[in-house]
Amino acid sequence: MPDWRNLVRQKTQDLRLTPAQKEEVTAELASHLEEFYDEQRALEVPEPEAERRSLDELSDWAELSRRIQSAKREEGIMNDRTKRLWLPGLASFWTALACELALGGSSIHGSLFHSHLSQFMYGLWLLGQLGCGALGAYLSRRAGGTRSARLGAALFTSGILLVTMLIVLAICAAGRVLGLGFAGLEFGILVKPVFMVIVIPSLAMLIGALPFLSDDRRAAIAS
Amino acid sequence: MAKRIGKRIPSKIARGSAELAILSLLARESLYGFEISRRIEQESGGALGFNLASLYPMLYELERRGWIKGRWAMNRAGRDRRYYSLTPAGRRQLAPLRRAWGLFFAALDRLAEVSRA
Repeated sequence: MPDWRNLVRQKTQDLRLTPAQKEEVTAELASHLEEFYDEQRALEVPEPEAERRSLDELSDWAELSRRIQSAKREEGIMNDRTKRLWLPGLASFWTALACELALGGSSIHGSLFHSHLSQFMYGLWLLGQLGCGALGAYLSRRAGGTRSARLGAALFTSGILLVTMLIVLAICAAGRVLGLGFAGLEFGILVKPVFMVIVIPSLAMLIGALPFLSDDRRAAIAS
Repeated sequence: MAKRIGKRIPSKIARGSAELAILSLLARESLYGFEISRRIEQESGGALGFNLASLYPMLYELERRGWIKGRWAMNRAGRDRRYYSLTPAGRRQLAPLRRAWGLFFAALDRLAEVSRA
């Protein structure tokens, strides 16, 4: 009986995986060939013919190596997380930014409800956020994203705003502790803006994302 | 008039059908690669078949997605084999996949009267 493991090792030497992965793949493919060969022998196929048939299981080893490598690798040029979370999230974020610019950049300030016009602009801005949430979730679902990836993509803009605000707060707090100013800063005055600029828009994005949180039957077949 | 199909069916049919076949088998029991290929052949009456080149990249892809998990164990003949089993994430994928294929076959049947051929 041929040394299947050695044969597979030789044929797949170009496989670019970790040594442990490579050894595991070699062992598994060799066991498949071994079992195929044994099956043929059990059918009383002569040894040379059984060996030939076993090798016929695979003609293009280079193609197999390429496909295994592609299936096994964790990170590609564009990995699943990029396609399912970061790109849809960024698309949602840039759309939110475009929406903000289209409204003259006044909507965030308007969120503090200084006038009727501001309230109107804030309402328009929220509608835009709803669309941005929907866009992020839709693109993520189209790329085969899980429900949590779709949620992450939908709420991406709020996440960025929250992180930015936390960084600013940390800098202000550090400035106060080090006596570099910011003495007049009252953190309490930030509660309302946080609510209006992060919490409520997040809810709008979530509502926009809702239709895309269920599984898409098209994606299920294609994935 | 036939009910209108709301969703278009995309390509990659062969790939999708292989996924369904493997996940359905593993939902019943843990199997290793060679057993999976033979079981699919037997249970499909020879209509579906996997060789080494098509089976293992698919298994590794499903494993990378976290839908199946492989572990080495001894088979009945006392040989080490890599047995695959369905993970909870894979089990969650199975129901929508089955529904999607049901939709696909129904659509094809309405279009081409496949079941009466």
